[in-house]
Amino acid sequence: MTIKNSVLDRRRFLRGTGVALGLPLLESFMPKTARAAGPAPGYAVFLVDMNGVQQQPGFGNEPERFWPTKAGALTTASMMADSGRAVSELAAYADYLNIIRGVSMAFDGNGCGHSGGGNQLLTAAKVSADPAKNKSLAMGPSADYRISQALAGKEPFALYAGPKYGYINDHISFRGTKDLIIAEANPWTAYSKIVSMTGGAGAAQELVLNRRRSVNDLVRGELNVLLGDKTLSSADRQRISMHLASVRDIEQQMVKELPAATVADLKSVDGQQGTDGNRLKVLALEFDLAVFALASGQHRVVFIQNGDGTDGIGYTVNGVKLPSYHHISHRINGDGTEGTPIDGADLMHHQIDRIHLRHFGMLIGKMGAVKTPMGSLLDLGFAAWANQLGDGYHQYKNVPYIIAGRAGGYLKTGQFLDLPKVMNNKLLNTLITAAGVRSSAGGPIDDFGDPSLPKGLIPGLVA
Amino acid sequence: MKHANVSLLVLGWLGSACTGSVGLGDSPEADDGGSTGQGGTGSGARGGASSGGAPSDGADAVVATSKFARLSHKQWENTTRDLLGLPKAPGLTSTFTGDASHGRFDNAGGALQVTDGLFNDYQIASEALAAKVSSDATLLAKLKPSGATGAVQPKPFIEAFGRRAFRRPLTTEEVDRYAALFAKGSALYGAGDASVLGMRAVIEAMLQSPHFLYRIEVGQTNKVVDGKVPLTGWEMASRISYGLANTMPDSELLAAAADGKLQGNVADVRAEVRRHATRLLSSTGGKDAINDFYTQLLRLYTYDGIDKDAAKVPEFVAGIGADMRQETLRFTSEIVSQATGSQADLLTAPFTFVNQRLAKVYGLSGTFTDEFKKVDLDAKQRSGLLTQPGFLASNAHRTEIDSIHRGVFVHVNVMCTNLPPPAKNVPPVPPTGGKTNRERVTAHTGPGTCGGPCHGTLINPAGFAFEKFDAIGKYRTLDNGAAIDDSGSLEIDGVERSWKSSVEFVALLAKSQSVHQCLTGAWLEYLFGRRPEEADAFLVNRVANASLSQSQAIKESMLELVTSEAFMFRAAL
Repeated sequence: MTIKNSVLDRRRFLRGTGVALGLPLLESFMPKTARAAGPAPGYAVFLVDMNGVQQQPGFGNEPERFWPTKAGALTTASMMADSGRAVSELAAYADYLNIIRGVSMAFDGNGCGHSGGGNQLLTAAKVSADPAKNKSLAMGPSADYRISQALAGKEPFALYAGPKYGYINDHISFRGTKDLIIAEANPWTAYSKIVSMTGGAGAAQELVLNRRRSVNDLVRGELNVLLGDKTLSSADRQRISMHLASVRDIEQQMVKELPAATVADLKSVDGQQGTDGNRLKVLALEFDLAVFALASGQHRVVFIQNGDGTDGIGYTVNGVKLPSYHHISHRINGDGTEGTPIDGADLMHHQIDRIHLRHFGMLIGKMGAVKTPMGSLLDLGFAAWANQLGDGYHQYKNVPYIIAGRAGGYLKTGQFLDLPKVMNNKLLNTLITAAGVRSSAGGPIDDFGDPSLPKGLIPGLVA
Repeated sequence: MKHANVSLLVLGWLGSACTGSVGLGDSPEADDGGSTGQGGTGSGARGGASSGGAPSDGADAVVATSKFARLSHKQWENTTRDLLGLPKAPGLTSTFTGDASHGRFDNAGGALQVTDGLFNDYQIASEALAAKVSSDATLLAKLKPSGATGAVQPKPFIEAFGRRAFRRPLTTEEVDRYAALFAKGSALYGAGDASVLGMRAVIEAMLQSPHFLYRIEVGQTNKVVDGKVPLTGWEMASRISYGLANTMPDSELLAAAADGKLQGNVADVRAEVRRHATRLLSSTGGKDAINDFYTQLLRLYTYDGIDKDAAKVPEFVAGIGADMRQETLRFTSEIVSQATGSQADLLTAPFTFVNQRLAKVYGLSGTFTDEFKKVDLDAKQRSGLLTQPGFLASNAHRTEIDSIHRGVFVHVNVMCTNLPPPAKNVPPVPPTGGKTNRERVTAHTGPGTCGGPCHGTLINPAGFAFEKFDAIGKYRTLDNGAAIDDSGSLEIDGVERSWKSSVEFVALLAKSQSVHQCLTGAWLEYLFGRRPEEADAFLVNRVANASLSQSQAIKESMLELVTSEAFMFRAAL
């Protein structure tokens, strides 16, 4: 198996009159002679934060501080006028946005609101009965995986910012039923792997790739013999088949390296990627990696999880270190239902929402800065932001989703959709289709998620 | 396949909305009724194969398992170290794609996958290791067939190295395939010594082979009896070695397999398995594996992240979490290494190991340095694992204790109670009064509140037993100026038991059948590399009963498990 598709798409993407890259860091790895032609490729980045947002209805009499004040068209001016709302952090990108309120997740969690929410967020699937609680899993694949498989024949580039010894770690991106994708938490490692996989440069690269083909042929042969065992259990057959499918011959590619300053930044967090102090730096570096992976043709889909499932980061705002974010989201000094109240927790939560959306804006900006003759990555694809929960009350309704990008013109943009209750499978159907995935009949994907859910897309999102 | 979420014992309804059943461990389902298998003290009744779906009746059962147990990342590290003769583990898995959790331990090989990302990781790591070995004359010399001089001949090298890499002799076809690759060495790498480049190519490929990455078990399929397939001697060697030492079989095990000592007459094989298992338990690899077991079981890897407000918890200093982890590992190692060290000793031994930082937490007088030393503790205050600062501080907030999480830990990790999920969307109600932590927690979650059935009767009592240990585990007698009450009662093994102190509480746990079943089930999970099944109930009960009634040493329990038919056979599919 090869990854010709992604390589060809990248070539198509870059073929033509040359590439104008807005990000200086990207210029170094884009071939100067590339020329563009052919259909626009799709790209998608999913960024997920934890613990819900400060919104109403929520805790008691707290004011609404998240959503725009009015449904309908969004402009930079209208969003700036809503300066008291967290989404105003995205005002600069109003033309590209879809802010969507009213999305619910259909199913109950199973003993842990955070895990159950994360399980459903990108899958619209039920939550497993076994395992349960903080170990619960989704009973189906996630949208990022579905898109990546369809467009690139491989798994999404999965990244993670924060410590990996939390109560819940990876719990959002899935290959299929109970089949969790584990994201890379160390951006230096993620970058090193991308560079290593290309095998170096020039004649040395050719030797490496030839050798890999020889070894891969041998390994494929051994796996095929093992698969020939008629007494294999279905689980073993599935696992060995997955192994066989993962044996890839990487084509010779022209990917170079990121600029020295970025590489130095990546290296600086190596081994320290899980600390609170490095969190936002890691997140920003992962945005660079996401854009690098997309623009260089390594991946078509990126998934980024910010924080463990009950993200307990202590953010520093205006020089003051806040209590655990998870505690703030519950408004008490405690991870459960018991603890002393945190004074001003609602405002702290709002400040954290702003931090998160400011960083989503950073991602939008980086994608928008990659210019091609067909438009930016934001014109060709989209970045989707969501929170694992509606609010700190573990609500599965009014789960915030914000989409930035036109997806090759498929998405209508520049609007705040204040919808009556809609299940998240319809939003995911819309996004999967927007990324360029089609049904076997050539139509839109309208049946993603649990089969019990009503099919369909969200018409208001489609141009 | 049904995991052991049907209880071995059931405590029965303890409230209108909360049932705490006791299982073999890691049993996420809340409650599925039924009780079973209180097996006898049997000394070895042996039974047939099981699909894992039903408890065995009066005999050890052989559970259907995967034929392809993938090496865990730790096993990959240890195996490459031993296979290539490296002075230490290469450390490359720190950048490998992580594995999803499949139980309490990371070595559930039958569930571990090779994903896109991990395939790439294996590829890059294999290339790096092959390059390292082929450029180091000392390492290369170790890999040459014994007695070989001059340029390495392909087939002798492939047969010798392959037998260790695949943990079995290669077939003629396999030798031929790798010999063809060996012959292409110069073409694949460019200039250099052709025989060295051939070795490099073979090493690089074998490290990516499924026969290296998986422990493949097909058994002696021509000798199936009563649904049980005897393992081949080579497969048995790997089971023993990976179970007890987390690495490939050493030369003695490989020799035993080659000599046919690990297959054939069951009694003879059992004796041979016991001999090697005993040997490995005292080896460096065996000791590392025991540390690995307790690190995962007790979640010691979280201790490094322990963080306290130093202004209010003056004993907290940076790095003390790592000290706490060291303390617990030294303690568990000491217990397990003793000829009589038992599960009960883990819970009751009144000694520990401290350095100068931990000595302050314990309030010990005397001279202490950075070095750990064994100390006796006040037996009225401290008793085993659950009164050590690591458990107490990791289940506490930055300034306050966390009785609920302490109670949950004891139930889940020590008693294997299948706590039901908490109610959905419980609003976080601020405390409404009470001077002490116990009073506040009781007011919110105790009897008479909506959380009463679970917290009031199960979780809180177990947590309150440790009320005299503050947020870092220091002993105290007052909370907010009021005397602390750490007494309580809890239904243990179906009988309401009372205590007046933490020491009395852990003493009750040390005498609890469900605790011994829980800890024995954990050892089964680790040694067998799979989650316990219902069909394992008889075996677990058999070993747990000896642990409880005879104070059987932990080492002996481990040997009982690995010499059972459940370990020595595989089920026919």
